[in-house]
Amino acid sequence: MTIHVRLDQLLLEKGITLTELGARIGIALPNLSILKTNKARAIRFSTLESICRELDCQPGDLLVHQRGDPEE
Amino acid sequence: MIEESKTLERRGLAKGLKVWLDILFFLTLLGGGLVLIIWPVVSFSGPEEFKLTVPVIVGEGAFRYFNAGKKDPIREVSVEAMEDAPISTEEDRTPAPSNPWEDVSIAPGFTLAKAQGQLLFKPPTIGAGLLYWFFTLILVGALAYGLFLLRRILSTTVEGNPFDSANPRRLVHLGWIVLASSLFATASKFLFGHWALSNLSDSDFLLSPALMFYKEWLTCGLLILVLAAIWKEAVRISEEQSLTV
Repeated sequence: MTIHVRLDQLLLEKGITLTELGARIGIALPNLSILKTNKARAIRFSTLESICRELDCQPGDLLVHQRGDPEE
Repeated sequence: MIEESKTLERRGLAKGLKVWLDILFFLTLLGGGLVLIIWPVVSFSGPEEFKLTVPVIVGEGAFRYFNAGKKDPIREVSVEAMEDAPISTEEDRTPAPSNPWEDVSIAPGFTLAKAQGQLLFKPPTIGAGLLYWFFTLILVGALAYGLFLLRRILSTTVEGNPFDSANPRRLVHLGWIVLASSLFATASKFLFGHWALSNLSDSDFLLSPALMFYKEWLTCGLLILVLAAIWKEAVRISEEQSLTV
């Protein structure tokens, strides 16, 4: 996938665990794990807004576009 | 709470359907077992003579080549008549009526064009009887497998996962089984009818094998294949939805 989710790095910077983030924004841990491991197919704006509010960041800090291998 | 009760109601419906399917499935297995084991034993060793039934048309059929009208003139067929039938000679040969109902008057403006019935006959060889038995077994087996697939699909619905990734494949198999069974039944009955009539030596009527198209099965099979395509798309949407955070 070419959109990379930097949730791991942001949680480390803010000193928050995934469980704590899930409890604050009301999203179940399995769903957040899907996001963290880059397995998610889509993210709702409401979820993005909640994460950015709790981690005090911009969507561009959380989502990064990585160019794929041209041979792929 | 309301959502939960509606979900339970939907699952209750699926559970009820599954019970019926289970009953049908096990009855089919039982019937298949009877066809497989008991029918040949009773038929070939019992006191009653083993007889087959094939659909026939009294009058000209769809394909002139298969008409029994090229044959000699005939009396009503029965097992006893076949055994006692005199050997026909050239002098006996008279053309059989192409349409035995031509002189039958029903009402002004109405003419009986054709009649369809069942020809009951004793097969001349055990091999023919066994072949009929084998064809019946194929159709019973197809029905059993179809019911098995339906049960598997309903099981996933009862578990709360109707968009299981295997269900579109099961529906495709079911659709093709229904289509193939319909065509197989049509072809086998026609061919058996043709073979049976080719063994006729004596009949008052022009008989021809009936080409019976099971339109309901064909339509049902096509409907199931269309449903399978829609279901496949639903599975894709469901998977995407489940991975949407």
